[in-house]
Amino acid sequence: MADLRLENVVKQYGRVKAINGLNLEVPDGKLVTILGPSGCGKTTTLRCLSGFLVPEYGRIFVGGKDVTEIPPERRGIGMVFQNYALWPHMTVYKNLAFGLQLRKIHKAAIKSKVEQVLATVRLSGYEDRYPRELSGGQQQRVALARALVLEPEILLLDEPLSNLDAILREQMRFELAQLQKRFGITTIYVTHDQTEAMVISDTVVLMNEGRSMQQGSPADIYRNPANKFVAGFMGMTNFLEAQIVEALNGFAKVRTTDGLELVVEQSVIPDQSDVCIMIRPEHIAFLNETNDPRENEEHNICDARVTRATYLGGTVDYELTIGEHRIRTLGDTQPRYQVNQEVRVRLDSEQMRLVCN
Amino acid sequence: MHSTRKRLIRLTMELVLLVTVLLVLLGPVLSLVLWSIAETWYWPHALPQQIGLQYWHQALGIHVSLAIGAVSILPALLLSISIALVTVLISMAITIPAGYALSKYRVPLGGLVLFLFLMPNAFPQMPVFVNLLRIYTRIGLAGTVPGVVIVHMLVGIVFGVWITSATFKSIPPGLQDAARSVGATKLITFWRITLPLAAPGLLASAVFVFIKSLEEFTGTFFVGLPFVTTLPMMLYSASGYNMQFASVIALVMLVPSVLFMVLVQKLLRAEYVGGMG
Repeated sequence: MADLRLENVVKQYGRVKAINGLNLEVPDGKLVTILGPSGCGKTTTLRCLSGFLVPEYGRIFVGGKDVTEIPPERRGIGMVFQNYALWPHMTVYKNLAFGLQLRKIHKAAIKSKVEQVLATVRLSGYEDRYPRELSGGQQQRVALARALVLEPEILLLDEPLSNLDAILREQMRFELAQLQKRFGITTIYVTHDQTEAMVISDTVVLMNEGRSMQQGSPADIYRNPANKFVAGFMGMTNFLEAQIVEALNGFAKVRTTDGLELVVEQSVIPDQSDVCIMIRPEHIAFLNETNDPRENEEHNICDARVTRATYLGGTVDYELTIGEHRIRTLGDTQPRYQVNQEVRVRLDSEQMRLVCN
Repeated sequence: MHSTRKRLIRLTMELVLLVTVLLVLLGPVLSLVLWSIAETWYWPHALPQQIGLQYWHQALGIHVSLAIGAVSILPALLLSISIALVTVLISMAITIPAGYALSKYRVPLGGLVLFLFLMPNAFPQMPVFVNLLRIYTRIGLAGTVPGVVIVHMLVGIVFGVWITSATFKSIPPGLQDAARSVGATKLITFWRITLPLAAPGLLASAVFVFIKSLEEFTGTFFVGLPFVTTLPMMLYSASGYNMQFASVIALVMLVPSVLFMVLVQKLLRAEYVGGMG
């Protein structure tokens, strides 16, 4: 096992910098997700890690050893491809055995290794099938097994679940996370799906335009986004353009562009007056019928009008108009509020965050 | 009742279609077979008055007589097949690397290269070959087997390169990346992954070049005759005066093509079609 480190990696195509000074550290045995929209540089990062691309600047270290210019076949990094890339002219057994054969391992040892790994991914008895005779989920597990059978120090997963249907994807997330913990392989997981990243990661690295926007635990990134992009990418969010009126220790009084005055509790207040208030739908509470002890607090309570109510089964998705802003929030199962109804809501001052663009 | 009638109509239509297709496909062959065994066939009779294998015996060198104007075609057949095989071998030696390079790397002026391969087929063949004959005569290739092989390559190679490069292009690059990631060098990846996956397309292009060479007429006519007599040359000279002999040659010419196709299909089915997605 080994840790992985990227130091100031730059990869450019012509004059476009696909990766622009990326620093990243993956401790031994941890799972780090590189998350970001398409074109953010995550795939390029993965290809640099696997050795298919050599960065212009920067170094890549595996277990303290510089591997920046070592070709893919000599890196000992396992990889699972987005469309699985199973060799269609080989059976499952041959797909798994190929890498072992290249290592001149004894035939009997190959057989036992392949059988063992197939059992791990619950595909014992599928040795003689061709990839096309397997379902998407099974192909996915064969692709994983093909990487695991070589016992790599590092495992790279390139959107491994994106071709599966929703139910299977959810199931495989947990399975992948479990397998990774069991084998204790240092893993880089690339995805554009923030829910997936939240479920499986020890650390999330959010990338945009070739840079790392923020690195941290899923909860940390969700609750304390470093900027507006991160806040918007990690789940549904409302933004209110505002100005800081008064900054105290751990508090800030802000005024939105349409004159609404709000108080935000935040340990570090941004050092600029034009900011964006971020508030997640679940941190907006309706006040009409509840007897909230804090109802009498004067701040952060505002009048609103329901402009849209969408029944989603478990919840109701409301769109409220507060001043000039339209805000999304969630209510409980009962479709209690009607369109055009006047309501009072409180925005949770502890959960709101001031972010910069 | 209604459905029975419908079925009857459908059956009739299917039969008509089948017979038409058979007539179009097999009609000419049937006519050739009939001609090849007709020893006496005078107008206006619909069928030959006397049939027999006399012409076949002559053509295949079983009997030798000068009475019916037919000679053994075995030397010409052997020559044709040899030329075709050599043409295939040399063409593949050129088209596999060329097609691979054109598909895999951004070859400077790659489009132009493909276009150049097309050139011999883009002009009317006659003037091209007449010019080629003048060049051949100067460098001593006129009327030689190597000269004919080169002409056959000119005709066939364009399809070879186009088919091979398309084949290589159709293989997802991820399959090659996957091989590298489990420890295969570029060379091993080519041999163990790319080549087997490309095999169906490569064989198809080989068949194409083979058949093109076997039936090539114009080029051989100009640069090969009178010293290199391939089967089509013989067919040409026979068709003018001896319908029976010409029919025999035509039927014999079908044999290698059909055999080659059957063989390739067998290979494809056993080895690769089973594994293709």
